[in-house]
Amino acid sequence: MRTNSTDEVSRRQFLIDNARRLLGVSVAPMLGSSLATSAHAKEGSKNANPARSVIFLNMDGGMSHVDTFDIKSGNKKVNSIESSIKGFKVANYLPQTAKVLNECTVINSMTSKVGAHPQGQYLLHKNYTPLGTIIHPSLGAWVTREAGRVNEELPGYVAVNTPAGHTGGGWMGANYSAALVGKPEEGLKNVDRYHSVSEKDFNDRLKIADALNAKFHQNYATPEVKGYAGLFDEAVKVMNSEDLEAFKISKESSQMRSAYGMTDFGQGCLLARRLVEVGVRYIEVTLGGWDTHYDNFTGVEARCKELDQAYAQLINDLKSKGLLESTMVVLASEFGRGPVQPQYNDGRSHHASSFTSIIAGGGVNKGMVYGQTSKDAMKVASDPVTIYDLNSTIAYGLGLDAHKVVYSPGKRPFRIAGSDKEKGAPVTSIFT
Amino acid sequence: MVSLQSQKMAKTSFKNILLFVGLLSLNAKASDMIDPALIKKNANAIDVIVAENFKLNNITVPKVTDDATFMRRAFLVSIGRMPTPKEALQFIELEHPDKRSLLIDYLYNSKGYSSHLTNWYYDLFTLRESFGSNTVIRDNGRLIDWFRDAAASNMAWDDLCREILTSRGNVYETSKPAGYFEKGDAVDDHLSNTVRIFTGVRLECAQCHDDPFQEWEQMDFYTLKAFVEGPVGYKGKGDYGGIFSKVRELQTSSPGKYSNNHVGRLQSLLFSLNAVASHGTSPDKGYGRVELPENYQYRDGKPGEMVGGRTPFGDKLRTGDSRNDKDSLTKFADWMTSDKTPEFSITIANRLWERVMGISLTPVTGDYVDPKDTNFRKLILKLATIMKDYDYDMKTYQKTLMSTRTFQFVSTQKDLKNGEKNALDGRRATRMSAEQIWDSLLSLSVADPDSLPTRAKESSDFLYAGQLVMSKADMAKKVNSLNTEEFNDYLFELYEQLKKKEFPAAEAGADSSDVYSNMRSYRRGVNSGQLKRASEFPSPAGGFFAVFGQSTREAAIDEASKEGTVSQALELLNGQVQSLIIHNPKSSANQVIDQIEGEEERIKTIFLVVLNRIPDDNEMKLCLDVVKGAGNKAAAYRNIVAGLISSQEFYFIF
Repeated sequence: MRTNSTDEVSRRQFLIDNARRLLGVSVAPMLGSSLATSAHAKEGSKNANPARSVIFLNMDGGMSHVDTFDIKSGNKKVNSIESSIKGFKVANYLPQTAKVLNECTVINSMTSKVGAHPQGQYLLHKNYTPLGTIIHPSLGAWVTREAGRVNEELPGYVAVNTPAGHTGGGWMGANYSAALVGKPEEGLKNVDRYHSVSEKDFNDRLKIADALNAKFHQNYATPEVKGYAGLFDEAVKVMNSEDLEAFKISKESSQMRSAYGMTDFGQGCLLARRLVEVGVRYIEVTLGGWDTHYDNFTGVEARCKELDQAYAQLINDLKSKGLLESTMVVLASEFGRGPVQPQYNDGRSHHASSFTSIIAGGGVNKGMVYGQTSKDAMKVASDPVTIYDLNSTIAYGLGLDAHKVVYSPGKRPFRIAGSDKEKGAPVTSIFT
Repeated sequence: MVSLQSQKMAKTSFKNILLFVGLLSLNAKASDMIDPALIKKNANAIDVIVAENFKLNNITVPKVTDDATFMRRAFLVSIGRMPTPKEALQFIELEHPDKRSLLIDYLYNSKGYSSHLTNWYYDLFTLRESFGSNTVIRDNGRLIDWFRDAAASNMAWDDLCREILTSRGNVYETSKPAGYFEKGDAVDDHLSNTVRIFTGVRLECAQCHDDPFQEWEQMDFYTLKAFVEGPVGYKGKGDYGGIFSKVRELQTSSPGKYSNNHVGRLQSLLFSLNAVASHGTSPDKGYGRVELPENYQYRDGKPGEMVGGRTPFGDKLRTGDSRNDKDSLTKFADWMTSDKTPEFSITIANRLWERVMGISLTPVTGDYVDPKDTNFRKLILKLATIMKDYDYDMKTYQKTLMSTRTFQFVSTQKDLKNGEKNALDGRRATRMSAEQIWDSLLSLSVADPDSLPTRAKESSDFLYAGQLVMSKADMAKKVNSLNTEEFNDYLFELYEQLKKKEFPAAEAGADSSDVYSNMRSYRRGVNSGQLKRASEFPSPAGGFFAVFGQSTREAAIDEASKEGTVSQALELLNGQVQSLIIHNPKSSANQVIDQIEGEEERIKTIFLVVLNRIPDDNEMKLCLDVVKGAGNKAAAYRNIVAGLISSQEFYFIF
């Protein structure tokens, strides 16, 4: 098992992290920047070999880490099986995933202070705590804005089966919000002409609208009007894009479709792979139902069934198409679940102080386990990674500087890494 | 008004249609609130100050718009939609020296006014259908209903402020807007937003630290918070651990009595009881003092120290730090609405000025700036005076603004340069809100958008699986009278009782969440398939509205987005607008257009109906070419309508 939990540097990093948490950021520089930046990146550092796309798999509701990827010997309720990382066991609900973990870095040392769903999902997506006075953009919006689009015809950020509130552009504006796909089978809406409108009809309409728009833009050249310039060209570009086919999962063979599992999540993962192929930057697919306060084990098993097939197939599929090195597949949840149970009817409660995320592809180490929790899985024992760090790490993986400050229209400073108070840093040591 | 549909009409000319429609009741009885002469006087006073401002700054006085532009602007600003085809043609054809003020009367007497204001309240007060944790979700319908009534009855702004800040009690037991402060966990954020809504002052930075950019210190936030400090809502009842231990016992001792499905429903009942009983503002709200937070870092206080209330600006009011002050909420509201707190009247006067005139008098919408630090000192002070003279009657105030000559200025075509301050030289084109877009599309689809069905109020019945148990008020009273143990017993007793009565669908395996949502009432309102104004949808409405940037009404005020997206363009080109208007022979637009004889006449009518203006020569030529080049003439006219509706001119107010 490749872990770095015993090396001196990371233990010092642990001290620094705790000092930072307890005393505020200003302490780290006093202790020397070489210490502060060994496992986590220096501010401003960029990945020289960036990934192109991200597939973000959002385990909505709080995935029970202790019944999936962080199984302790005391857990008598779940049988574990060997994975393809030597010495690392996972729940027997995850037989396919167990086989592909040697492509992944498992981060067992996620930690957060936020134990409620809306705030936790907000943080996971936006890297800020909700403030009430501004809406922060989602990471997909940041990425689309900072890295730009690869495919100029298609949206840069697509979210599948995910609440719109998680995927908005916030103060960056709707231009950076995700294009939303509800059912994966339905693809992007309104991309086909109305049934009784011929191509000539459509072109006549555009011709009239174009003429009116030209006059309007000449007469009312305000910034808001200018923001609309070219919008129809964009829309028509999407409508006419040959890559629009990427939204049609029906183009896949029935074997391929059933390999992902005929669930919304499975088909969403398939759609994500198709979108990666045509150069969409950031795709999110959500798997809900992890909030297992009641009957945790039945619930976790059922979710794992969907997850296992889709996740393993996604990794294998990307790999076989040569896309895994340029695509970061991130599996994350807003928090984990309480190791001490039962809560209520054989359930588990929210647990933010330790949980698990997994990153595969995009240049992260293969078959690495980063960090660990205490024996009872209650706390992080080494190499803590905050949600701020996780999002910074995704940005780093794409070659972005997570600490670059960008100002909102109201002149307030923001960065991917999060606020001054709790700013994260990329975990660079998980990259090859 | 005579319905066109009910009449057998020969193809007729434009003029004939108007005869048929009959005059709208444009001269409906004028506003019954405030003397029209006073409105006129105040409107003139505003115009005089604006004229002085032009002279002072050497700005050329803008021209007054044509009737059609005035009409479209006035409709959108006052009732949140464009005119229907009939309203538009009628106003344009009307020959009357005072037709603009007749229109203003018509608009401010319209039901559309409160619909439009309701959306504004939803955004400003971030009113969502429900809030809370996933265990106890509270319906926000009572508060939403209260705001809807406030809009419909033209409640004065200071009364509204006072009511929401001082009302206490369980929301189902009182007709007051209790529960305003209980918005999930974000109590501090909600306080900052409230202060900003009413005074334009931003305290959000001072929540956590001294604000380096403004004068506010963290202590200011806490001494203000002292006024509203108190228990967060009511506590939920019952000992959840005990309840579920008992369930497990029952499952073991009498297998079959409680299947997992039943446990789910019992849980739903538990959550619903608490959602009803614990929804409101605690009677103890408003201690008048507050404990400084553990991480308080400044010299003027120690962590954990109690501090009393002290207003940070405006009227000076205090509460003591040694004991609770029962009148603290009232003092808070007194301070906010006091004449000695000029921020109150100035902020609402400025906000509504921007709402009507399209020009903000401060750099950021809703921010308070001392009038002397703006270009418009005299104007702002006058507006605040008018607002106070009207006793904060928002409708009369807005009507006054619309009655000015300033409102009628042509939109400026000049772009603001970087750093240049706003002038009063005409509004700048801004995109309609998502709600204005929807309601305008309705105007082209149905004959009278303001008479469409409205949403029902939140039910006062406590339902279980569709059956009445008792009123929510009685249930709240009942639950709140029980101690923990009694509540646990009551829960099981009630559940057993209800189980016998459950309707078959629930028995037939509907899962617990279905039963739960049956108990909840936020899915109220008119049928989802039925056309209705934006204000009658759930808040927020998602779908079309989300695409056009409707505020999520989650946390931030002024959050609605007006930026363009590809999804919007796709919606306009290929979406609902096709079946609502363009390809719907019964749409209010086509009902008028299809009757017009003559190619040029018909094209002209399409422009008047959709964009409320006549085409220029190039546009006419282009459209004639489209008609002449088409094999199917009817389709060609549809294409012109579609082209106009998808043009950006349609979505902007200018």
